[in-house]
This record gives sequence, structure tokens and C-alpha cells, in this order.
Amino acid sequence: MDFFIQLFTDPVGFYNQHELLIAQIGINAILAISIFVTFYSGQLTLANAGFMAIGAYTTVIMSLYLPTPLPVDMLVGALLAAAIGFLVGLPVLRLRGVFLAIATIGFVEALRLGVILNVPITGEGQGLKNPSADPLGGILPILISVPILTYLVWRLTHTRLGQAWAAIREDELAASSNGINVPAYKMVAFVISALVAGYAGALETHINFFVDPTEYSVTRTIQILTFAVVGGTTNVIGPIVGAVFLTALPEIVRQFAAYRDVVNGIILILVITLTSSDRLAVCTPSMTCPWKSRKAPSSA
Amino acid sequence: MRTVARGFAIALAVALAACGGAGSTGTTSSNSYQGKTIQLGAILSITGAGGVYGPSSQKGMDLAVEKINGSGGVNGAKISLDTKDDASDKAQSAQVAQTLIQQGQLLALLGPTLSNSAVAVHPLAESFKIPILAVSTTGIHIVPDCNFPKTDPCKYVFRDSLGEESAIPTNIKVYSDAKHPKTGVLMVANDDKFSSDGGKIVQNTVGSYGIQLLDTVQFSKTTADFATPVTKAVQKKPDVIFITSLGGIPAKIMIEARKQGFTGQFLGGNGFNTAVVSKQAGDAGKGAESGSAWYINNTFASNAGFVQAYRAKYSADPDQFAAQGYAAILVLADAAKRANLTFSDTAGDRTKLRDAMESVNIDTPLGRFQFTSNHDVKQTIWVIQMDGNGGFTLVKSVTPS
Repeated sequence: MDFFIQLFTDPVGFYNQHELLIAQIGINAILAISIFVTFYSGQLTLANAGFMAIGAYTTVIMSLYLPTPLPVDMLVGALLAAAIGFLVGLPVLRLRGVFLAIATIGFVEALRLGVILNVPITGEGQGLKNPSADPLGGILPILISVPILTYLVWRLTHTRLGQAWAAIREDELAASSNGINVPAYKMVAFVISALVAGYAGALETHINFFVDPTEYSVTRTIQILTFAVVGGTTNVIGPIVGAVFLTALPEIVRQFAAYRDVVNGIILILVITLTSSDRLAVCTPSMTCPWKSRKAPSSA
Repeated sequence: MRTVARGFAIALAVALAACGGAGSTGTTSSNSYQGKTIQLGAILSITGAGGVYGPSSQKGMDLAVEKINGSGGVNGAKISLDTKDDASDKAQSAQVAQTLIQQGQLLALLGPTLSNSAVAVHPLAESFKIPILAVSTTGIHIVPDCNFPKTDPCKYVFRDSLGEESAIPTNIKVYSDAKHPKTGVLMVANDDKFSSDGGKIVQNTVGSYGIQLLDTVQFSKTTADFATPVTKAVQKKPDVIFITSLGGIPAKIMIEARKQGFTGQFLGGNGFNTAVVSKQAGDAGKGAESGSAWYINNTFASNAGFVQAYRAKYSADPDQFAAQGYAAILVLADAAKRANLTFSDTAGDRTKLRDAMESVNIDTPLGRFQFTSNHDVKQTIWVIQMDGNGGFTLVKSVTPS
């Protein structure tokens, strides 16, 4: 309750005391935008944490070894994530539904366990310190990026590209029959998603001082997925709301001390069960989704 | 008669006030402390992966605060400790630290529990110029180079927890001097900074004592079944298995290794040093050795009093993390006592406290306690071994040179 009282009675003080929380909310909002793009195009992909790691590690390694300015490091990190997204997408996007989800989780774990933990330049398990980190200075680019990315993706969903994604999401076979190049449009969504996730990873290193492999595990992937599950995926605002809510929730319930996790979980269950049913709209009639099969008998 | 009585009362009050001041402070600055509050904040992992350690630290700190406040405080000022759970999450740890620093008049911070979180929190505290005392972080680059790879020392970061760079080599030396092992295998969780740091230290140390490292078996800290990695280690038939990992993992490895017929020695670091791990390992862990910052059965007064008070309050034995938490409050209280705090200039008081911390020299449950010039702990290292019943016995104490 103190959280809300201060938010409404002393917003300046609230901002000063919670800058890092607000920054983390911004990072998670960008990740939510990233997963929205693939969900909007009907793809249950869960590789965002991996692309985030690529953006983060590239930025920090460049900061450590090259005299390039930080924005260039971050741009290269995001672009490299997009490029690897394209390469990963070539074989992986042949899959659909839960099979696609499992393959993309496999990519995240292969990247973490196979590359990050075995290539000395990443610092392996010891991680890497970011010499250019500036936690409080890093909040401004995040606060600027969130509305810009939200607007761009919202606009994108209203272009021909967005309409094609929506058509693929609703019925991939019908979309293909109507001349939509399904593999190409899916690839574009996957690469944009990777680009945005890579950018989020690069931004996060600026507020966290440090990158280490524990941050980019399946746990992070599930967290990003939860933003979409809680917020819904019919428009870009949904996952962002999910990200804001879920990132702030541990602070909101902090007063419950030892019971914080319990209260956190109960609120989450209530939100998921009591709010609208548009979430997981990504699971369309043409897709094989585990939760869809549960609904089938009732409609039969 | 009334005048005489009033005069006697005033004289008595002055005398009592003088006695109280001199007794509790020994300085001339006590008046500015009277009735004030020394606000401290602690960032601990009460839940999550560090939940094995954080609650012990919290209990130790709470006990010390209770003891100091109960005996008149610090020059008459009470200590107030605001403890926040970071859920063993680096981002939350930094967020909590920032909120604590900017919301009030905190003079110093304690924590965080895990080295993974310290890399985010300590540079933040340094940038805000608030003293922070690490109570359980034992990894590399905690002090003085909290801004590693930058080489300028962090002036506000201190540590009262025995670093693995001291504990592991000392443990290996003590065991090598006694048993002369020839071969070893390192088992290390490679996806965790604390464990990876420990692994590097083992790799860099064993050669100095003539131990050949036959293999390094890496595993994830999320591993559920250790049969496969342990088999890889045991089949090399080493004299020693070195384990650097957190939480319950060392115990699982010991149990699995004994099950597979390993009869050699287990050596480790701070990950061994809690009764939880010793209890989990049970008979399989009997004889496992580690370098510890503390030993429960030490009979010197500052430890015996702590153990007795802890048992009385919590009806359980303390562990190393409780002792370090308790010692941390004693250290800050001693520094605060000598710092001539104003209680009106928070920034200035933080710097005064930091300066006073550098010259701390007190008895604690850890032994005689001082900081090195790098703000690291300078204390006796207690090499201990698990007794097979959830406790530890002392092998040897090593005094710092």
C-alpha cells in the first residue's frame, strides 16, 4: 500500500527512489513488445532471452575491447541478435505451435550452456562487468525507447505487413491460399522480435553493471512469456501492461514480507483467471496448442 | 531542607548522566548521539537460491541490534535496521538498494547475500558514497575493485565475510600439509559466479601443493541428478574431490560420490559452511573440510556470548552466516561510536562512518576483527570438517600474517 500512497502523493520522491525499478519495467516492456511481434504473427517462439543475451554480451564485449561509443555497441548488439535470429529462423520456423516453442527454448539453452559457458571471451560462469554501466543515467534511453517502439510496432500492425501477420495468425493455410508468402512474413516477424530483444539486452547491461549466464535462462524466457499471458496479445499494449504489472508486483507486495511470494502467486492466479480471455490469441485454429485441446470437448 | 534535597537530586542526576556518558562512549561526543537513531539497511536473500544463507544473516544482525540497543545503544543512540529481501535476484537487489539509499537517512548498508547481486549493488553504493558492508559475499572482485575491470579501489565497500581467495587456498594448504594428496578432481557449477570464482581459485592453487588436477567436471546449478557428473569424477579415482557450489549441491554430490564408492576426501569453500549443508550431507559428508570464517565451539568470550545469546533467542545453533551478520552490526556500531556523527548531515556522516570503519579493531564471534587496507576482512581462518551429524569440528586455525 505504501507503494501506491507514495506514487500518488509524492510522485517525484517515488521516481527518485524507484528509478531502477522503473528502468527494469521499461526493459521488460521492451521484451514484451518483442514477444508480441511473434505472437501477433501466430508464432509461439520463446527465443527472446537468447537474443537478449546476444545483445547484452555483444555490447559489453565491445565496451571492454573496442573504443567505440556505447550507442554503437548497443546498435551492433541489436543487429547481431537480428542476424542470428535470421539464421536460427531458417530451420526453426518450419515448425509450429508447441514444437516451435520447444525448438526456440532449445536455442536459448544451447546458446547459454554451449556458447556463453564455454567461450572465454564471455567470462563463462563468472560473467562480465560492464565498464560503461551507468544505472541512473541509463534510465533515459529506456524511457525514450519504450514509447517509440510501442508506437512503431502499433503502426506496423496497421500496415500490409501487420495485416499479413494477422491473417497468418488467424489461419495460416487460408493466408497462404490468398497469396501471402507465409514463411517470409513469419521470418520478418521473428527477425524484428530478435532485434527488439537484442536491444533490450543491450539496454539492460547499462543499468545492471554485469552480465552473467543466469540472467538468460529458461526462467527469463518464461517470465517474458508470462507478460504476454497476463496482458493478452491482441494489441501491443497488452504484453506491456503485463510486463509493468508483473515487474512491479514484487515491490507492491513487499509489505507481506515472508508471505510475499505467496501473495504474489495468488494475485497472479486471480488476474489470469478473472480477466478477459483474449490472451494466448496466438493459439489459433490451425495450431497445435496444449490448452486448445482442453477446450475442444466443450465446443463439440 | 527542600533546597538541599533539590541540590542533591541535581548533583545525582549530573553524576549519573556523566557516568552513563563515560560508560557507554568513552568519548566526548556522546551528547549529540543521545536520543538519536542510527539507521542501517540490509539487503538479504531471504527467499530464492540464497535463502539458505540470508535468514541466518538476518537473525545474527537482529540479535546484535537487540543486544546493543538493550545495553544503552551507541553512545545513547539506538540502531534501527531495515531489512529487505532481494529474492536472490540481482535486479531486485539493486532496486532495493537504490530505494533504501534514496528514501531516508541511512548511514550504511549491509549485504547483499550473494556475490551475483553484489556486483550490481556495491558499485551503486559506491556511486552514492554510502558505506556498504558485505556480510556473506565471498567471490572475486568484491573488494577493493568493486568496479572491476576499472582498477581504482572502491572507497565505501567493505567486507566482513572471508573471501574464497583466502578460504580455499588455506584449506588446501592445511589438508596438503597433513595428508599429502597427489591427485584431485574439481566439480564446479559453471553457471554461477560464486561457484565459478571458487573453481578458478582451486585450479590456480592445487599446483602449488603438488596436486595434479585430473579433471574439471562442470555442471549446472539447476542439475537435479548428480549421478552422471559424479561418475565422471569418481572414475578418475582422485585422492580429493574439490566442490565449489552453492546451496544443497555439495551435499548431493557427497552422497552420490559415497554411493558410487568414493572413499577419498572432499574439500570445499564457503558453500560447505552451514549446518544445513552438513545435515543434508549426513554421514556422507563426514570429514569434508573447508576454510571457515567462524567455528561454533570457539570458547573465547565474544563467541561464547554470541552462541549462548543466539541459542536463547532462536532455540537453535547459529552458523557462519549468523556470526558474520552479528559481527557486521558490531563493526558498524563500533565505527559509529567513534565517528562523531552529527545526525544532521547525512552525506558527511556517511563519510565519517566510512573513515571510522577503516580503523575498527574489536572482538567479534569471528575472532579479533580488523579490515585490511583493501577493506577486506583480516581475521583467523578456521579450517573445519563436517562431523557427520550436521555439525563441524575444528581441524586447525590459521592466523593471518
